[in-house]
Amino acid sequence: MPSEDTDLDGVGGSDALYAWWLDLIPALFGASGAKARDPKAQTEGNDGSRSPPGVAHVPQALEMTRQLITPLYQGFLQALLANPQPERAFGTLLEQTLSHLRSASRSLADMATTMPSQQGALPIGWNFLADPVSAFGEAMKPLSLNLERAYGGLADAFGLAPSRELQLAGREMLQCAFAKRQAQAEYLGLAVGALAKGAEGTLARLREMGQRGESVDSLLALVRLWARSTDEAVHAAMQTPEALEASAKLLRVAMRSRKQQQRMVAIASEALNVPTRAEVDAAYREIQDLKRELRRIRKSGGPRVREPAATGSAAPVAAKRPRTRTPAAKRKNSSKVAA
Amino acid sequence: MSEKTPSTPQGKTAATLPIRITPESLLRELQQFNDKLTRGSKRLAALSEEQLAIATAPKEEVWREDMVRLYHYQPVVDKPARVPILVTYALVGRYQMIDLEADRSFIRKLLAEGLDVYMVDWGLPGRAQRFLTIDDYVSGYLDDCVDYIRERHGLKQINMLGICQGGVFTTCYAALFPDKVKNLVLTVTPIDFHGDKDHLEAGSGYMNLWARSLTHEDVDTMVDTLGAAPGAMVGFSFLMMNPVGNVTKYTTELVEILDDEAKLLNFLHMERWIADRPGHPGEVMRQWFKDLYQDNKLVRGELVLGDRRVQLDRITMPVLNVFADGDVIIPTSCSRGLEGTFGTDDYSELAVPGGHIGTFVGGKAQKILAPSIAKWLKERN
Repeated sequence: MPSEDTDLDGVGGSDALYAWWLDLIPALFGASGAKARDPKAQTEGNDGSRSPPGVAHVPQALEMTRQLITPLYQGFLQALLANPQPERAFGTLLEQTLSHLRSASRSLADMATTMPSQQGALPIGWNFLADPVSAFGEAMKPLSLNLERAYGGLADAFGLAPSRELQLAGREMLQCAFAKRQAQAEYLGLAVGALAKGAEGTLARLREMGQRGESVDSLLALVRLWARSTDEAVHAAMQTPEALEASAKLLRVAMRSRKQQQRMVAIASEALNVPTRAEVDAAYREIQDLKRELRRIRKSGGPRVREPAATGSAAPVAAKRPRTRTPAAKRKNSSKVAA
Repeated sequence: MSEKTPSTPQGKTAATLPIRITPESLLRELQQFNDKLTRGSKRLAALSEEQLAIATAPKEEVWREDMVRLYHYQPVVDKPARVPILVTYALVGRYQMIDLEADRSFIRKLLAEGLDVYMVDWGLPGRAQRFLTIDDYVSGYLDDCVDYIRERHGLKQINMLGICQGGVFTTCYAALFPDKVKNLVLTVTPIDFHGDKDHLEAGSGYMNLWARSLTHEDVDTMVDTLGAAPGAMVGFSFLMMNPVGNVTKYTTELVEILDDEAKLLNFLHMERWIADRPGHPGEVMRQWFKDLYQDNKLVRGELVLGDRRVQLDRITMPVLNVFADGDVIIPTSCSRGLEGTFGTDDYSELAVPGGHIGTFVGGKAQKILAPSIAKWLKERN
């Protein structure tokens, strides 16, 4: 599963989740030790040369393939040596894999349900730092309020308000982090369940092939078979209402978390007199509004605003009045175009 | 491998798994696998920029505003069609996909059919473009491009061809400015965004389902928080439509094509296009998700751009609607069977084999698509 700092907010989160998918391949066949890397990361080729932009990830994908597939060969070889009948060796491997996946799916589901109780317990330290009196319970609330009024005002007077705001925002960030991990566990539990179904589908496919008198005589062919079955299983699973809801929940907490990050940055920016995101956005909005107004004036026949000169030899042709032509007679047929 | 190879001696052992791998054969395969990877790495390292270039059909930039460019492709016949065609691609990818390689370029095939082709390049919108709306694209940039071409050619109307999201923009344009459009060609374009509801298929229309699983508030929060969706995030959403396939693409499938230079180059050209994923303006995303995916306002005639309602019955010019049989990004149920949706009496449909992208780069589809469009246009010009 993604590391704790996995963030699904944007690029980093996307890459981390993708890397997690890649890591599952060797795990499915009981192999270990291969750590997938992001195939889209920029890299140098094996000979040290740099690939042209846009395809630099492909040599790295090859290296990743080597890292992923080699342990599969090794694992299967060990299984074959232990049990010379290939179908039994593979069956044993797959059974082990299924067992791992089912267990992982259960663990993730358990994790998702138990997290809310942990969520209340763990931030106590933070709560105490931010609001020490609250730790003594409801009875002390009036005191807490009075302290906040007296010393909070003092802190404001000394310009310490941003630090108090940051503390509050940080506490909310922490809550978001818990919610996010819970949502991730829920989502990944469903994904792992789908992978287990994919493995079951591989067995079913193999049995069907046996009935048809077909056979598989290479490991890569087996991997492809697994990929087809798993692809179908994952598609089916991800379209269920549960998976869609889990995905939506993940998005919600990721956005909440990002909002809190932005809030913290805004607090710091204001304290340092740096334009905040909201201020920059307000400027962008105004620019866009002005552009719209300019276009409206231009299109309504106002003073012509010249566009920047076109490049190369293709200077814009001097504006000509469009010739008015009689439109072709309207066709009155509906047809299928012959390919 | 011999997945399809009948293996009579084992055929009777129906209940067991038909795996015929021995330790010796496995070691041999591993050796071959490693040799192939080594050869492939060397082949990749030896490729030149020239071999990897995409979108090479000769063209010139004739107009630009902000990050938007208008290109005119150099005609390849002495007398190209009198009425030019403006091709509009989606915002979620770059226009280069339809001119990916010289021998599988939709653009080159249109040119070879004698068409005079223009193309809008939406560029790479960033944070500063987050407040651009669909109306800015349709009534702003696209209308400017159309006016430029009309003026340049001295025509009242031009032909328009829209692709996917660009098809939606073009449809809106044709409804808002019907007097400027002579013929409308839509390709893999969603019009009825809820068309898939009664035709759910595994592996198809994931984006429709996902978008509908969100609330309006979710979409607002997403747009307000992100501003503009980064290109990598847009790419990730496509990747998650086919997560396992996108893993095997970089592993087993890549290994399979390493010794075939033509196939390897096809793969690399596509990768290059995929890597150049533009960001998506937030306000377009907001309207796209809420008004279209969630509320299906376009086909209901409720979509409002600027202060005008997009009425599809105002599309009275001839319409050719092209959809892909195997499209899982835009389910065919969202893009086909639109007779009566538009105001035209001249509505035609064309089904092409392949998927969403395969429509423009697939061998079978390429044989059909450009010639059929050109024929249809010539009959109406």
